[in-house]
Parts: sequence; structure tokens; C-alpha cells
Amino acid sequence: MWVSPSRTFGAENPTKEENKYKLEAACLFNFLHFIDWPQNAFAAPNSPFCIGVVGENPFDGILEQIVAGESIDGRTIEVRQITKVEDAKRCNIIFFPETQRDRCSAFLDALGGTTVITVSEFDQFTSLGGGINFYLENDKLRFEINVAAMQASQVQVSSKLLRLARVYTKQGKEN
Amino acid sequence: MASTYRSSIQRKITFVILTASFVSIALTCACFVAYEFLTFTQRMAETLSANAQLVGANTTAALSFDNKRDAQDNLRALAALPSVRIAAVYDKSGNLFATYARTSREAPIPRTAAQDGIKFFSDRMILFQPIMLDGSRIGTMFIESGYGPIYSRFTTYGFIVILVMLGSLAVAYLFARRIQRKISGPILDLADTARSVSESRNYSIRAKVDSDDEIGNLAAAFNEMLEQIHSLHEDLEQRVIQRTAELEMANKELEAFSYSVSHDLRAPLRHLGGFAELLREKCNDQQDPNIVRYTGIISDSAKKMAKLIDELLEFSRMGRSEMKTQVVELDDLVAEVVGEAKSGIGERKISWNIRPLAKTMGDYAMLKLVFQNLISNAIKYTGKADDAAIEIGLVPEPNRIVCYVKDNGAGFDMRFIDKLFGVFQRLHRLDEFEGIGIGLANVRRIVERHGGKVWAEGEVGKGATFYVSLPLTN
Repeated sequence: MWVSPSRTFGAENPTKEENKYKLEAACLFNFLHFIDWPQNAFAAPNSPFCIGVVGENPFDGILEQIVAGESIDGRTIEVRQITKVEDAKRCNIIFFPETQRDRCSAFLDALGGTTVITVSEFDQFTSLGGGINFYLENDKLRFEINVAAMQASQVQVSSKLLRLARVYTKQGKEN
Repeated sequence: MASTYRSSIQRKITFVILTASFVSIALTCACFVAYEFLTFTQRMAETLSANAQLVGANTTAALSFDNKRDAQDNLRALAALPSVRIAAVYDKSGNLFATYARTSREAPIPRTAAQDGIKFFSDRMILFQPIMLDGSRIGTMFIESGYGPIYSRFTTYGFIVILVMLGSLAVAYLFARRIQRKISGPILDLADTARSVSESRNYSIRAKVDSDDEIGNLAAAFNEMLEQIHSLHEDLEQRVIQRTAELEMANKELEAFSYSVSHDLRAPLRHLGGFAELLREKCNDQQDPNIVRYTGIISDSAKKMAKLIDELLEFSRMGRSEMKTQVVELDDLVAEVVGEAKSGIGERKISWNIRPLAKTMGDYAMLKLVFQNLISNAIKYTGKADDAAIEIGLVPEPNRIVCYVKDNGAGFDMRFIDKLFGVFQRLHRLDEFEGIGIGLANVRRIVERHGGKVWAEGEVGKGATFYVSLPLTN
């Protein structure tokens, strides 16, 4: 059974789908620890981190619970509902649920050259230019990181995080 | 004797120096080792903590994203530290997340995280340390390490300490030998000097003064003392010589005086006696009987005085004349004296009882004088007895000859025995028994010169016994 190291969840016998979103929520929060954004990613020195969820929120309030009261480097964390591309530009991480697969191309185009990290959960997301993509391996949640997208976003990804991830390059999948 | 105190003072100095250096080296080494031990354990603890920090920090992502394999890989980096035996990472709830064991035989890894901190055991130390991520705790790092480096290091220290000890003790010993020569040398010289002074009585010997420390002062003071003793001694000897010379001079003068007095007195006395005799012969036909009586008194007095002078001369001769020691047959000597005495008593009847006597060593003439005196005394003091008896014999004694001369005459009071042998001491009135009181004094003088003794027993009216002890012949 998955036990989040930074948050424990009190759900009994969750469905497979529910369980997956719990883990993804924890990961979204933990990414903030291992990725360094440049100063210009924030409006002010004490501006909060922002995690945007595109379209309908699949986390059922879990993500909000995880980030509530937490702070990283003196910044609190807020979760936003994103409907327009313009809103996404103010976030640090935006998450495309699988249901929003069709809209992601437009978002990815618009967010090119910004400091926003895009995260999703369907195949081919990284090859489309997405940043991080969740996948399952032996029933365990893993993630793939697109190093070129990270470089384009001017963020520093911790080597520790990279070591845990499958690294995607344009030539093919590594690790 | 010299060697015992010599070795003991040297041994003491060596002992003191070696003990002092041993104690100081031992203390220094103990402090050094203790300090090293403390700093080394502290350093090891710091190193362990730093390694735990390092490895723990590397597992933050693994903990955050629940990647046990990655945490395990991270822990494996501890293989580079040989003293680390087991290690583990616990999650935020304290449950085991990843483990590391150096070999398969290591101690079991704790199932849950214990309280943070380092604990030292006799053979290992264990460390629980928080794993932090951005200020919040996400897990616990555990490491157990042996003291391998400490032990090998302290074995080396032990060897170094022993080498240092031996080296410094050797140096201290050499140093002690050098220094004791400087300290004990002068003291021993001083002691030697003191001993040779007291043995040879040569007070002109002086101790060497070759340092200006306390020992030098001691030697100087000793020399000063010797100087004083020397001068006192010489002074005293000078005075003894002077006094002896003075005494000898006085003694000689006294003897010459008494001799010449006695001698010179005899000539006028002879004239006095001779002319008194002539006068009496001439006056025999005179009618006045008083003249005859007076001249008789003068003549008797002159004779008595001549006898007194003779005895005085004899007494002074006895003190001075040399002894001619030979074997003396007392039987012969006594027979001779008794024979002479018998011819001198005229009509008197005395019963003689002369028992066998012995041989002795001595001067014949002097011993004869002894018996002459004793026998004439016996004859004299039995003069008033009805049936006078004189006995001469031996008292049997093992180591000396004891002769006695016993009479049944006037005797004497034992209360006055002290006066019996003194010069001019008389126990009887002159008109009872004639004599000048020099005879027994002479007897004592002669017997004492022979190494013997005289003593007497008596009772008034019942007679006296005189004893003389003389040496055996060798």
C-alpha cells in the first residue's frame, strides 16, 4: 500500500482511481520541494506557490488538504482552478487531468518560454512538449521528466528528483 | 660501610628522579590519551553525524516519492566507511523504509526509529538523526558504527606511549646518574673526610669546597668546625704537657726535699745520740741519779728519732724503687723473717705455728719487708698476752695466694679498720705499744704494687688476723 511520506491519508478502501489521485496530489506538492523556480516566476518575494488544475478538479479536495498550512522557502501554496490559458501563466505548476488531453496543445503552445511546469497523466504528453508525466509501473506510480522542457522553463530540477524519474529526451526515453 | 651509604644515597636520588619522571610522563600520557580519546570520539561522532546528514539528505526525494530502491542505493554509499556496520532510513512515522548492513552477520536493525541523538556503547556507537526537507521532518536516519579506527589508533598510541616512557626513563636515568654525582659526590667526600678525621685524629685534614651551594656551605662550616677543634685540641695538649711537667717538677722537688731532710737530719741526730751516750758514761760516777736518767732519755729519744727517719726513708724508697720481679718461695722467706724475729725477742715465750706456704711472683726484698712488718706487729701486740701465739698460713683460693698472719694479742676495734693501713695512723696509744704508724702503710703500698690487696680482722683483746693476697706464679 502506498503511504505518502509527507502526508498520510485516512481513506479506507479507496477505489483505484481515487488512490491514484491521492498519490498524484502528493507528488504535485513534493515537486515544489525539488524544483527551483527563478525569481521572476513570482510577482513578489513572498508570493505563494501556485498549483493550477486545468478543467474539472479530479482531486476531490485532497490536493487542497495536502498544501493547506504548508510553506516552502517561506511561501505558502495555493491551488487554483484554471479555465483560460492566461490564468495558467501565473502558476508554477499546472496539471492536466487525462480528461483535458484535448486542450493541452493550446496550453503548451501558450506556455512555451514561461516558467510554468506542465504535468499530466497520459502517454505522449512529454513528446508533445509537456514537462512531467505520471505513469504506472508494476502498479506503482512513477513519473517521466522532459529535460528539454525543464531547461526551456528556466527551472532547476534537483538531481535527486531526476534520479527517481524516467528522463525523456527528444531522441527517446531514457532510464 | 662506605659502599652501603654510598649506594643508598645514590639509589635514593635515582629513585626520586625516576619516580618523578615516571609519574609526570604517565600523567602527561594519560591526559594526552584521554584528550585524544575524547576529541577522537567527538570527531568520530561528528563525522558519523555528517555522513548521516549527507546520506539522509540524499534520500529526501526517495522518501518523498516513496522510492525504497533509490533510498537503498543511497545507503549503499556507506560501504565507503568501513566502521559503519548497519544503517537504515525510517519514514516520517518512524517505520523502516530502507536498510543497509555491511555483512550478513551484523546485528539486527531496529524495526522503528528511536529517539534522536548519539549513544556510545563499549563496542559501537549508534546515531538517530532527523531527515529534513525544507524545514520539516520527513524521516529518520540511523547509523551504527564500530570504533575500529579508535582501537587501532589507540594501539598505536599505546606503543608510542611505551616508547616515550622507556626513552624518557632512560634519559632520566642517565640524568640522575649525572646529577647524583654532583649532589652525592660532595656529601660522600664530606663523610669520608669526617670519618678519616675521627679515625686518624688528624685535625688538619680539610674537606673539599668546590661548590657554592648548600653542600659547599656545609663543607665550609665543617672545615671551620675542624679548625676550632684543631686549635682546641692543640691548646689542650699543650696545657696537659705543661701541667705534667709542672707536676713532675713539683714531685721531684718534694722527694728531693724529703730525702735531703731525712738524710740531713741523721747526721746531727747521730751526734746527739753519740754525745748523749758519752755524757752518760762520764756521769756514771756522779751522785745525782737524775743526770743518768736525763742522759738516758736523750739517748733513747735520739734512737727513736733515727728509727723514724729510717722508716720514712724506707717508705719514700718503696714508692720510687724499681721492682725486681722473680719467683719467691714464701716458706723460705717467712722462715728467714721468723728466724730473725726470734733472735730479737730475747726472753719472751711465743708459740709459733707456721703452716706450709706457696710460691708467688714478686720482689724478694719488698715481700720480706711485708712479712717483717706483719710479724713484728704480731710480736709487738702480743707483748702483754700471757701465752702469745702467732700463726702463719694460707687461705685456699683458686686464682691468687692469700697468706695470713694471726696473733692472739691486743687486737683492734673493727670500727677503725679504715685507719689501720694509713700513714701515721695508730689505733693504740704510743705508751701502750711503740711504733710510728708507718709499717702497715708500707705493707699496703708494697702489696698494691704487686697487684694484691691487704685486709684485716680483729677484736679488742682477742687478737688480729692480717691477710695479704699475692699473684700466683705463671
